[in-house]
Amino acid sequence: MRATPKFRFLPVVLYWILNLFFSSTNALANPALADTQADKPSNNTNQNLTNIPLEELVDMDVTSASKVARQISDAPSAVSIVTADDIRAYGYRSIADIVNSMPGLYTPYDRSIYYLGGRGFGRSGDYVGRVLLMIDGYATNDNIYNEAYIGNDGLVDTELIERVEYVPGTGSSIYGNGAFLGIINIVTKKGSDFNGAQISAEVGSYGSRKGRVTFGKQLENGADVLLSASLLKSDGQDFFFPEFNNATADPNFAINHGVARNQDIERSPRLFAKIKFEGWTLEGGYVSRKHNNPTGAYNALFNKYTADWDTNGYVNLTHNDTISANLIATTRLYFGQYIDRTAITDQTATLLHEHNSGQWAGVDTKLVGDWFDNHKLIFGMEFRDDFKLHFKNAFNDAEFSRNTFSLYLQDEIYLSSQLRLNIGGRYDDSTNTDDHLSPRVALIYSPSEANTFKLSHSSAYRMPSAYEQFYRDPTQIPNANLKPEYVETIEFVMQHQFSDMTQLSSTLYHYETSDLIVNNAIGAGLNQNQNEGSGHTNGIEISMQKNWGDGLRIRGNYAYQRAIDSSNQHLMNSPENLAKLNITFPVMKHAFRTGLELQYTDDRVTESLHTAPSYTLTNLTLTTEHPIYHTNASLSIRNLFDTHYVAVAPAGYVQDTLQMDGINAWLQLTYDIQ
Amino acid sequence: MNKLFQLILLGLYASSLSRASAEPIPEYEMKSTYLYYFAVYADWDESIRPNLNICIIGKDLFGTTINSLENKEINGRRATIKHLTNLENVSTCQILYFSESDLYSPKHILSAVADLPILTITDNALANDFMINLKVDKNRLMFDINYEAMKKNRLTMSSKVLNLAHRVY
Repeated sequence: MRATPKFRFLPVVLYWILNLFFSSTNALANPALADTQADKPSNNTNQNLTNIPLEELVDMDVTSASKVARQISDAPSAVSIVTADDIRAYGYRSIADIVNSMPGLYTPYDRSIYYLGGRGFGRSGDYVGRVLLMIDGYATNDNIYNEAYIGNDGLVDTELIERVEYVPGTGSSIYGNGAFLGIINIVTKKGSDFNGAQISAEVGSYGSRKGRVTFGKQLENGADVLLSASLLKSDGQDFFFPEFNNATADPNFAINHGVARNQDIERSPRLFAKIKFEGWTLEGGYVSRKHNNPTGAYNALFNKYTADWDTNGYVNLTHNDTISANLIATTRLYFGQYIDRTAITDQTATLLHEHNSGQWAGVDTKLVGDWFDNHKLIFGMEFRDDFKLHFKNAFNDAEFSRNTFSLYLQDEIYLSSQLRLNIGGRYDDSTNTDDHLSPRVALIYSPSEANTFKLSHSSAYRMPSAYEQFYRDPTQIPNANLKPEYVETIEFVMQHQFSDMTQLSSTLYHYETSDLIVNNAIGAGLNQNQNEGSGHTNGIEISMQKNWGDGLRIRGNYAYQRAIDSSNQHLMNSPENLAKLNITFPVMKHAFRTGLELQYTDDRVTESLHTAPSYTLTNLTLTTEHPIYHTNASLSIRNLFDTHYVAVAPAGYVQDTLQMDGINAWLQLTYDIQ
Repeated sequence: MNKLFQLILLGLYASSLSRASAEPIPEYEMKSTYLYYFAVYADWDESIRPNLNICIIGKDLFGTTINSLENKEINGRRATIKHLTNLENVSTCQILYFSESDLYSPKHILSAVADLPILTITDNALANDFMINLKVDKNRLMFDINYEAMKKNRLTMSSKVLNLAHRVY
């Protein structure tokens, strides 16, 4: 529909500029090895290490700085990392805040739920997303909607996060279902990172407040314990929606003059626990977030009680075992649970309740072997039992289950010291949907320590969510024959690490999607999900990072994505250009740190095929660099210039776009007891 | 059938848990500990000075891990960590550590050391003429000792350390 290729040359020009900037520093730089960010020293054991004789130390495992960096560049895509330092410096309070700074990712908000968009896909209301969200290797997406929870419904407080890695591109060849457009892995902190108790009190705009208590310690026997609990509450805002104040067109739409009052109330308690002992890690998380939806969406009676209530919990037991010098095994045993207790006041003022719940458990064993000089083998199997998929509403009560058995194998072949071939795939056999093989082949060429080129070809898939397959209400009928969605990709990555302080990476990709699940009207007022959609996306992602020794850090990225469906239309809510810039530096003799964030989002097509205009947001955070009397403070101002901007509303909303928050603030004080 | 599968998998799982392994140590934490031991077991064969200066030239990848060596008593001498911004004062160092630098090449540094009794240590694979080369291999921190170079600068190392070296030449 849109024919304004105003940014056609922008990617090329930007790429040139970036290349020029970096090639000028190249001459001075050393082809370096390590990423100092990756080797954040832990403050716990050095004192003890000098008590261990050298002959024992030489046999102890080390986690190497260069290895962390290399592990990342081993992935045949350009991995982005946000560290705990960044989370603090930029005042990130949710996973959505964190991923918003990453190349090509965006998080549309529909005034109740955050969606995760990337690589062209970002339709509001699309619960499934297509990115797998993991915490310490555990896949968090629930088994009803396949949703990645990234707002206040997310499983961890950001203060507990050590780093977040975004691996763009397909990940099904190792991770299987749902790793369609990328993987986000959250790595949580250790107890010893806190080394005592921490109390946090927070207040923010719109009557928001939050309290958190965290305890973390490495015990005498070597066990590392982390326990945390938090509670967030918010009164929220009153909203004026002109769509509900249209008395001349329709008297029914003039409800409360279009004002939704006290319909933005939110409450979210969280629990998190992690115990590590001798290769074992037992971890669990819980969140139960209840939030009113003020928008009158999905045929709800406006300005009356309608709420989303999502509860997620999991327990994950991991064991790492070095079986021999050449074989490392990681086994995980996990259990997860999800409950959706949506309540909607319908047009007859009747309060309708949904109670959709899922439970799942599984075991995954992954082995990494390097018996042969020029091969690194990864193989494993996973069995997952989604033993409870329960839908209950006023019209229907039905329970389903699903089993998935998976095998995966990957071999990294060193063709020469500079050239590696990475070949692998995963086979998933699942009840009630087609089995699937997701292959991947990648060629990785590193002419020097500083330069890496990766070319990969892969396919990934996403099973229909239980909701897409089984949900029934007066307007929606199930489709037992629903098949998975597929994507086939070609990706080319160039990475340049000029020193441990400077890196640049750029990615070109092409995606072909098929059998996309589309909710079609099938007559008689009924809808059904069908495998009908297809399309293709071409994109460029460029990101750079430069750190200076005096504490100045700059990260920037730019993504161009052109997502077209089979009828040659732009995908809904898919901005063609996204640019982000993050700058942080110490001020006042390192007493405080400033974090400045700029985010540009291009215009997007709305559900009614209008255009939601582009916008640039500025966020500013001021934090204490060191505790003062054991107290740290952080003040964030979001949307500093009070920019007026809108998000695209999902289908099922009366509104076509929703106005987002103006300038707002958040203050956090943390007190450490050691 | 599924229950049987689960049992088999659980069995496999249980059987893989028999061995316990220790928590890995961050690389630079281990490196600073090695540095401590090299200081303990090296002999400078010079008049005893009150301070043992551990100098770092170029980029400091240790972060805070090196700080625990500050003021530590090593064979009756007080360890001091120095970050060198140039090579002029290199003669005050007993140990010189080099990872990487935009300004100084390994050759540059070694020519400044010349035949001074300074134990040169590096983890930069390109600096292979240093006395001790650290490298991580298969998750272990290993080291090579260029004992000829040590002897040339009138330094000795306890056989205990030499025996633990990956390679002595």
